[in-house]
Amino acid sequence: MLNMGPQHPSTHGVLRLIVTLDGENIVDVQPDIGYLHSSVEKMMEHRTYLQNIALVDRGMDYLTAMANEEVWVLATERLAKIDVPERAKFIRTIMLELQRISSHLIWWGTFGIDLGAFTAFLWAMRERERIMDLFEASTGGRLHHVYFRIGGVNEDLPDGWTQRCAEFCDYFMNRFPEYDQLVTGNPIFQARTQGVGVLTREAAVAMGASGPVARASGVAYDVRKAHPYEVYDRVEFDVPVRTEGDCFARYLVRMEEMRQSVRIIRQCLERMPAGEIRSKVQVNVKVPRGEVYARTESPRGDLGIYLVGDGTDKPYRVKIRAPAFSNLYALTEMMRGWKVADVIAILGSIDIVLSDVDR
Amino acid sequence: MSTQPLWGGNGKKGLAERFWDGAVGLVLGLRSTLKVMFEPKATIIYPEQKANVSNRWHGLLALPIDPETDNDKCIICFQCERVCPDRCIHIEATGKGKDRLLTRFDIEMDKCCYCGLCVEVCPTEAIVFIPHYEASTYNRANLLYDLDDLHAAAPKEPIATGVVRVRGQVAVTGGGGEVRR
Repeated sequence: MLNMGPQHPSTHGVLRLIVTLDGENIVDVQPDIGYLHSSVEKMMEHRTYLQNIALVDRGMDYLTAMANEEVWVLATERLAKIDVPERAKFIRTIMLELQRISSHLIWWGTFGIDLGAFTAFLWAMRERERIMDLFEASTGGRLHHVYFRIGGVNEDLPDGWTQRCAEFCDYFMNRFPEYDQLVTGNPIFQARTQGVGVLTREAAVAMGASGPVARASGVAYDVRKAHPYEVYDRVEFDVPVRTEGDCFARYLVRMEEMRQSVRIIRQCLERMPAGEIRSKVQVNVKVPRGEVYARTESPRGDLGIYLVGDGTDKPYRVKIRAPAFSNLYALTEMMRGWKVADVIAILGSIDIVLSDVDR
Repeated sequence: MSTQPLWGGNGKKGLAERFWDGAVGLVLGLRSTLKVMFEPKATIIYPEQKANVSNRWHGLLALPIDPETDNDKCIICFQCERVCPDRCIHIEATGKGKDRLLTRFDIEMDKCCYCGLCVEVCPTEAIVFIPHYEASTYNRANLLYDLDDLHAAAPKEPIATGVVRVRGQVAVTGGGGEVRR
């Protein structure tokens, strides 16, 4: 038996792994979660729909605030049948994809640190800083934006923002070959990830894995394609799928997703119409009685919110389907039979955020 | 490892070829790190250099003084107090009609989550964000901002005319953005 965590630099938060060992081989792994539980779902019942936007930013996955806001406003808009202006939809899509790049960059950097490549982290932070600057210029916040509103977005993009965003896309794509040279082509990195921590297609489906983890195991499923929201049905992008199911496949899927995100941003910047950014919605919007399930593709996978409204300005019940939670429990399947040294590599490759796991 | 052939065949790579691939991969990686080493620095030395923030920055809150009336623009509508998710704004007033007077306007900055909903709902733009991000203090009581503090915190010039320039777009070749002393 080996206790890894709750205070361990490579668990990306407070996670305790109870690893049962036979010599150096892993017999079983049980994640012990709950250290970051903040009962967001209950807290949301005591706040209005508008105030909850500020809450989902930090209460759920703190690295992908935009994706959390998106799933919340999407659920509310569907239940209250509120229309979103066309321009707001494009702005939201751009923000979501920027957030996806920034989240994947953090994962890329920390995965590098986990495997001993410190340069990757510094480079990832350098690029992420520019995305943060873009967010700061349009939303005012760097991590917690509170930018999306029920029926649109808070403020229009500032002057010159689209130009800056396009410049960032060019800059980022110029940098990308360097990433591949530094990490992807590195023989030590390949030796530590190729063939390690294989998750079969059947296991991925059975454990409810989603997002890049499932796509690396051959499950060609992306909510953006299957249930399009915002303008994802109008832009062209590919969903990268690998069949190996190992750490290296998960790595490659995420790297390709970043390229596809840039592709989506460029198309959106090109086609973004002028006009309204927000439809008229009361501050204390009253949502009719009923229930709805909204799902989005967050950088970590299938993020859904089940919302029950009771006709007042506060939700009656909220249930969050967190992608990192399901992905974390696929860990048991991945780790069985590998060595202790592979624990960090496998844990790093599934990209969990503990605030999303525990909520 | 020792049983592997030195030179591969049948589509499999031998030890020597794998060694060569690895060496090439390492050299390529080192080459790009070396290239980046001679680029301008991406970091700023924080306490001495300070980064400019955007003019939408969610920083500290303030009640700017309107020069025409020599008072703030608050009309005591309690909207910000009601919309605040953390209930960190406390407003009290006396009098009726035109004699209405603001007696208390406290913001507990330690509770504030900088969501900006109060700024958004304010009908007269009385409460604004100021581009200031160094609020740390040794005493928690210092984070309770009362009316005088909020008046004093407001910048002399209106925010919209640009007290702080928007952080310049950094060039493609690198660099840490505009910094000011």
